[in-house]
Formats: sequence, C-alpha cells, structure tokens
Amino acid sequence: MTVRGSALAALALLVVPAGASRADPGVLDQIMARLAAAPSRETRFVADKHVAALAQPVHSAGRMLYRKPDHLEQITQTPQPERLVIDGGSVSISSPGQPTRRLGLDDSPALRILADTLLGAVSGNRAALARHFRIAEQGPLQAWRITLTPAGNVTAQVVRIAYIDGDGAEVRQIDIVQANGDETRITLQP
Amino acid sequence: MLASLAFAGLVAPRLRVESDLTQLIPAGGDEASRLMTRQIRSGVASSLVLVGLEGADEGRLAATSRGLQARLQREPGIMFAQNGSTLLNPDTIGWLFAHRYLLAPNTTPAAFTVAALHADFVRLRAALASSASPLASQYGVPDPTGALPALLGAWRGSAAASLRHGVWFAPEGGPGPDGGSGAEHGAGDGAGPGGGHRAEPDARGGGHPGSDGPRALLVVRLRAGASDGAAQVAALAALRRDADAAASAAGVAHLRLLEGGAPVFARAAQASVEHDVRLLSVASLLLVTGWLTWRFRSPWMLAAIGVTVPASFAVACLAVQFAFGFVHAITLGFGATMLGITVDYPVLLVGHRKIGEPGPDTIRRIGRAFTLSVLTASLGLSGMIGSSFRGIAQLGLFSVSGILTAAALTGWLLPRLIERAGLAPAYAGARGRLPRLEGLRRFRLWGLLPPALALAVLAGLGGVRLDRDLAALTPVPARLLAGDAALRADLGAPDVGIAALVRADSPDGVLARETALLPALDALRAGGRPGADGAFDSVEIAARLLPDQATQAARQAALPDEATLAARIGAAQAGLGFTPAAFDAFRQAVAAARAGPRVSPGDLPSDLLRSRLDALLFRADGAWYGAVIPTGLHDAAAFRALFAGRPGWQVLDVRAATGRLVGFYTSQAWPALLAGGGLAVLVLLAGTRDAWRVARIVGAIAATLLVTVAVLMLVHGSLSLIELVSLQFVGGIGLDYALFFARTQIDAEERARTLRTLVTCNVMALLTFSLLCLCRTPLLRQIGETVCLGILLALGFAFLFAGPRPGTEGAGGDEARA
Repeated sequence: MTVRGSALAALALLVVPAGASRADPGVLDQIMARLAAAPSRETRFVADKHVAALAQPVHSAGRMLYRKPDHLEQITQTPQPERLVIDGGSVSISSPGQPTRRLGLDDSPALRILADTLLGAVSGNRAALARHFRIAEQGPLQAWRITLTPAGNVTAQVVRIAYIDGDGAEVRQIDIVQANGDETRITLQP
Repeated sequence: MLASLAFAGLVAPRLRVESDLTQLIPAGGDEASRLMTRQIRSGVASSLVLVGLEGADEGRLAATSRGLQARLQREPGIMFAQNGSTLLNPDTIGWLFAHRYLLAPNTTPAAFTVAALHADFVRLRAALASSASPLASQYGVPDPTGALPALLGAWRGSAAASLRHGVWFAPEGGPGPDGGSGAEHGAGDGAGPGGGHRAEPDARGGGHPGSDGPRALLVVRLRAGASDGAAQVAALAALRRDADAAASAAGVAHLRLLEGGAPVFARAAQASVEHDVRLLSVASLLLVTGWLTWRFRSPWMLAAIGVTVPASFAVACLAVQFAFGFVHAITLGFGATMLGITVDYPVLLVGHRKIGEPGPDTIRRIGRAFTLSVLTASLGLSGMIGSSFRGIAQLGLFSVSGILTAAALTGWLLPRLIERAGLAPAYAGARGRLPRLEGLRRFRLWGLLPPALALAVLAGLGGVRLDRDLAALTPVPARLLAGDAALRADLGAPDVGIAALVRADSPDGVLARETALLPALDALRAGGRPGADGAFDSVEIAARLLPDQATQAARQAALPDEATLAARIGAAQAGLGFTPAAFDAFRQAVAAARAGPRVSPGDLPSDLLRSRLDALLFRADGAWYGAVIPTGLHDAAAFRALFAGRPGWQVLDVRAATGRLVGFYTSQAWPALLAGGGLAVLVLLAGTRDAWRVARIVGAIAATLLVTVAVLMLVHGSLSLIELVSLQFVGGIGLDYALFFARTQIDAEERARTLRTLVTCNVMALLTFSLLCLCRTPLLRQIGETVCLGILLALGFAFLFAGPRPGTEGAGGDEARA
C-alpha cells in the first residue's frame, strides 16, 4: 500500500466511528447503495406474525429470493408450503393443491404499501420507500437500523411503523407494525 | 344576381344544420322500437367507448394502460375510465362491504350454522397464517362467510378479459401457464370460505383478428351523450392525446390505438358526411361552371344561373328549416347536387333562344313543355314529403321548393335579364347532323329490346327484392365496425342483438319480475345435460346486481339474531386459536344488516356501479323497464321461449326491429311513387291532350326505370330504400327530356337547339351526380350510381321514343320548306 493509501484508510477508520453516534446522511446512502448493488440474494428466513384475531403468533420459515430490480419470492416451507411472488405490479400466492391467486398491487393500497416496504427493504430501493415513508436511519454501518414512519394519511392507515435492521450490505430483520396492530417480524439468515 | 346572392348570404347564418344521423331515423313505429331508438340516442351505450392498445410487449402496454387511466380520470370530459385495475375503488368496496349481507347470494340460513362457520374459520386461520394475511385481516375476519367475494362474483359477470400485470388484456387462446387463475379485485379472502370465487380458466376463443401481439383494454365513459356531438368529439380527441402521452411515458414507440363504441361511430359518420358535403359543394360548383362557360362561351351564362340557383337553394333551406326546425347535413349535400337540376332551367331557356329574340318569346315557345315538366317533377317528388322517414321528407321538401323557385325565377325574371345581356347559345346546333340522328328513330322499335330484356332479367331474379337492412345506410367504414366487434368480443361486452324487456311500475317491480326469472335463466345457461353448452354464455340482468326488496327481506330474516350468532360463533371457534373478540366486527355487521334499511337503486355510490345498473334498469314513458341481455347467444329460440307467456315481458330482436322499420317505410315509398306517377300522367294528358304522345313519353320513362332497376338488381342483388327514392328523381328528369323531345310544331332548327340543350343539361347532371359516386357515405354513393345510370338511359330512351318519327309531324315542315 502506498503512503497515500494508508493515510486514506486511516482517515476512513477515523471517520466512520465518529459518525456512529449521530444520524449521518451519508450512511443511509451507503446502505442503500450496497443493498442495491447486489443483483440477487438468497437467504433463509424465519417469520413471526402477530395477528389481532389469533391468540398465538404464527411462526413460519422458508427461503427468500431476491432478483433485481423488483422480483421477490418468499417460499414458505413450514407450517404450510406456500409461495409468494412479488413482481413488478402484481403479487401472486400459490399453494400446492390450490389455484394461484393473482392480485394487482394497484387494487389495494394496503397491498402496495406492504409489498413496497418488503421489496424496498431488500433491494435498497430508496425511492420506493420514500413514496410512502419518512426514512430515518441510525447506527454504524455494521449495525444499522432504518426507521420508516408513514409520510401521509394513506400510508398511516396501513402501517404504523416499520424497522429494518441490518449489518453492512445484509438485511438482518424486517419488522412491520400495521395500523390495526398486526405485526410481522421477518428474520433473515444467510 | 347580386340580390340573389345577397339573399342566400342572409339565409346561410340563420340555418340550423345538424350532422347527427340519428335525427333522420323515423320517430314513429311501435313502442318497443321507440324505446330502442331512445336508448340508442341517449342510453349508456351512446357514451361508452372501448379502447384497445397495441404495439409493444405486455409490460409496457400495461404501464401505458395505467398511465392512460390515471390521465383520463382527470379529464373533465370523461366520466370514468376502467382498465380492470381499480375496478372498484376503495370507497365503492367500502360501500359494498357495508351492505354485503343484503347483496350477497350466499346469505342463507345454511351459511350460519355451526358447522359452516367452523369450516370458514379453519380456512380463515390458514389465510391469516399465509402471506395474504393483511387482506385476510381486513376483509376475512369481519366476513368469514365470504359475502363480499360472493357478491363481487355476481358483479364481475361475464368479463372475458384477463388481468395481466394488474390490467385487462384481450384473452389469447388457451389457458394461462399456471393452469388458470381467477381475477381478484383487492378484496376477497384467499382461502375462499363460504361462497368464494371460483377461479375460471382463461379459455375463451382464439386470438383477436388482425393483431399479432398483446392488446390492453380499457372501457371509457364520456360525460356527453349522443346529442352533444361536438363535446364527444372533443373528449375523444383528449383521449387520443392522453394515450400518446401515456405511451411515450411508458416507453412505447409506436402505439396502435383501437377505438370502438357509439361515440367513435358518430365521429366517423360526421367526418364522412362533412367530407362529402364539402366535396360536393366545391367540386360540383367548379365542374358545372367550367362546363357551362365552355358551352356558352360567355360568363353571363353563369350570371344567369347565379340568379336562380342561390335563390332557390336558399328558399329550399328556409322551407325545410321552417317545417322541421333544422336542416340535416345530408339534405344540404344532396341539395348541392340539386344544382345539376335547377341549373337545367336557365340553360333550357337560354339554349332555346334565338339570337336577338325578345325574352318573352322564348318563354312562349318552350313554355308548355317547361311548365309541364316542372309540374310533373314537383308532383313526383312531392310523394317523398309525406314519408315519416324524416330524411326522405326533408329531401322531398328541399327538392320541391328548390325546383319551384328556380322555375318561377326562370320564367319571370330571367327572360328580361338575358335579353338585356344578349345571351344566346353561340352555336345553335348542327342542322346537318340532325336528320341523321333523327333517322335513328326509325329503329326505335329496337329500343324496346333492352326493356324487354330487363323484364326477363327481373322475372328470372324473382322480381324486385327490397333491402331491409339499415346497416347499408351507415357511413361508418367497415374497418371501424370490425375493430369495434373485436373489442367487444375481447371485453365480453354484449352487443345488443336480442334482448328481453320487462315493464313494471317501479324499479322494485322490475327487479321482482327478474328475480322470478333467475332460476330459469340459470338453468338455460347451464344447459340441460351435463357437458352440453347452454343456450348462452352469460347474461346481464339487473336483479343479479341488486336483489329486489323481497329477496333482501328474506336475507335479513336468514341472518341469525345476536344471541344465537354469538353462541354459534363461540361453538365454531373453539380450539382454533382465535381471540375471544376476533369476530366482534362480524357480529356487529350481521346485526346492522338484520335491522338496517334495505338497498334501492338510488343508493348505489359510484359512477361505475350506477352506469352498469342504469344500462339494465331505466325509466321511460312513465314506466320502468329492465333489460336482460345475453352474451354469446347460441340458441335464440330457447331464449325466446323462456319469456313466452310471461306477462310484462317481451323479446326484442333489435336487428329485426330495424329491418321492420325499413320495410315499413319502403312499403310507404311504393304507393308514393305510384301516386306521384299517376298524378303526373293525368297532368300530362290534360296538358297535351294527345294520348299517343303521352303513351310515348310514359313509355320512355318506363323503359328507363325498368332497365335501371334490372341493372341495379343484377349488380347489388336487392334494391335499397335510397335507390328507390333516387328512381323517383330519375323519373322526374326523364320526364323533362321526354317532354322537350315530344314538342310538336317545331322546325328542324328548333329541334337541333333542343337536342343540344338537352345534351348540355344531361352532361351537367352527369357531372354533378357522378361526384356522388365518389362520396364516402354509402347513402350518397347509391344515389349517385342510380341517378347517373338513370339519366343516361333517360336521354337515350326519351330521344328514341318521345321524339316524333322522321317523316311525320313536325319534321316534315323542314323538308317542305327546303
């Protein structure tokens, strides 16, 4: 390494910890840029769903596939096999033994917002998130958290608040609290 | 001449000109036809536009469709634009959700038993665990029996279009790659509890004609009805602009826009009519002035004509406006070609004048023939005025007023003027050629051959067949009609061929009668045997969208009361893991539906729902009517039989009804023709007091008409109403020629003058009527073809038959002198 290079590296090491304790706009951009850089991603997931109508939370597990720019597949293996595909403007849900249901994201604002949140979180698509939420981020690059608060009335009627936790270029956890109290927490494991 | 032009100039701005073709449709007929006419003119269908987008891949077309829909919703001239994505906006879904138990067909006691509820709850739990849980929470938990999906199924009806990328696309042949899928509209519970929506495979017919790519579909309703043509045209222009904007925003380079529906046809018809009127007015003016200047080598001839023609045109317009309140553009166009006839009169006058002769003398010489021909022509055309087909009546009045005015001016005003101007034909006709031409009359018996042939041909063809199809009169190009048919097939939007109509005193009465019919309709649709095709694919009926009060009351009674429901819910949800308060919303909704007010047609919230219902349930003449419209009708007889013997119902065959209308008016035209003809013959007899001459004149005209009819039958296979009317015109012109040829006591010089003048008139008429053959409007084209053929034959036969034989009366005078 040249003298210049090592000096830069030292500077970087100095800068990053200094920015850790306060909201740094540069960090958000870096996070988003790294997320967006990946052409595809495949992870395992474990999801906890708290639904108001059900007394017990629902646990599910499976795999999640992401392909740039807006293709996301959530393949649940337990407790019942199911495949959710978000692609562009539509969502399809298929279970074995049942016909595939297709829903247009334009049909239901709720669906659009939730799909955008999930997709935006995984793909680093800041524009999609900014459409519905005010984005605040905190934390160093290794342990960041993005907080999404509804930007308008329409969103506020669907989502109360959402969190995305991650480290580096990986998303570790997505937590969506809906306006009606339902909460979904998805934990991703590589 | 200046005075005449000034007069015409005064009249023009005061004219009310209409281009709407429906104004020409007769007002009479039976009640059902009147209803149909009214629905055509002002019903929902008159403002509905079907749109197809082609020219890119599915994704981009879908984006274009969404962009277009968003833009159109903001246009002031558009009531709504549907592309399948937001078929029901959140407000509408909210309203339907609130009234779901009264509207849904699955509100029966069986749906609220413990066992049924238990099964529903099991499905609900699975849905809540799945990825569709947000929807399940919002719509499934308060509605475990699936009332909303059931009622949406009834409202969705027969849409053949499939949803791809969230918007409507025309179906391609065969089912989709994942074995068929149902279309959802943002509500509806995934696991389908209760009467959930059955997914239907996408197996409707093959691809669409004339396209080899995907086609995105939209349905657009304009705010303006058929009576406001200008507003509709403006709205259509806005639609095209927005489509281009949406296409470029979505990255589509070459968008192909298909349009269908009544406003599109009206625009095409109007454009066609206007184009034709312009063509006729300008071109006929140019041609006629050119020909006349050449013939008479004097601009004063034009001045002479300039006196009569504008004045007679203006008087004719005024007369029609006075009688009908408006002048239709087609009447104007046809009137412009009347130039060819009224110009005849000054030409006849000038053509017969000897150089230096005082004006009144010329009149005296040709006066008798002239007066007779004007009288008989007017009499013949006056038959049209009595027709209740407004278009024909207008044409009749227009023609008669114009003819009379032109004749009057020619007879009284013109002689003095032309004397002052010294107008006379430069060249009075070749005296030398005349005997040779007249010698042809020796062979006049040969002239009987064509009419005889014509008779034989007609007999062989089985007589004269009259065309009853109004469709031949439409100026809409065939390409547009085909495009509309394709779009309708794609969207599953019924085109009204056969419909059933029920009448009652109130909207609920209509709905009650339709409800009584529903079981029989369903049986007919499903077919008698399993696997057999039903009598029709699907049917649009108001009662399926909104049940009558009796049905709603029955549903209210079917809902369990609070205590019973609470107990059943408790029993059904045991052990499933729901919270105790999970179904509170459900209980409240049921209680509200049980106690609350029932729904009537006026309560429907949105424009889209309202439009759909208004098309099927409407008020007319103080009573309420319901329409039952089948799509994909395979067995019309079975459909008809369904309504036989049920009071208050009648089956309308729309196409047959219009055919009957045309038949009715055609049968009116025959007697008018004959009456006019009879009157004319009587006048002739009185005027000439020579039966043999009258016989020759009538023979000439009869020969002309026979041969013309035979040729038309050979070429077209049938005679349309318009051709029938044109034949009257031909008869009138032929009478003109025959009368002038049959004049007695005239010397060779005069006869030469007559021949030349009549040939001049004939060419003039040919010039103007042949222009009609170039028109876009089939109506005007038919008139042009008939008249051109007719007047050519008329000149020939009149010359052959009506004129005196060489060596007999009149011609002998010249020989004697020489």
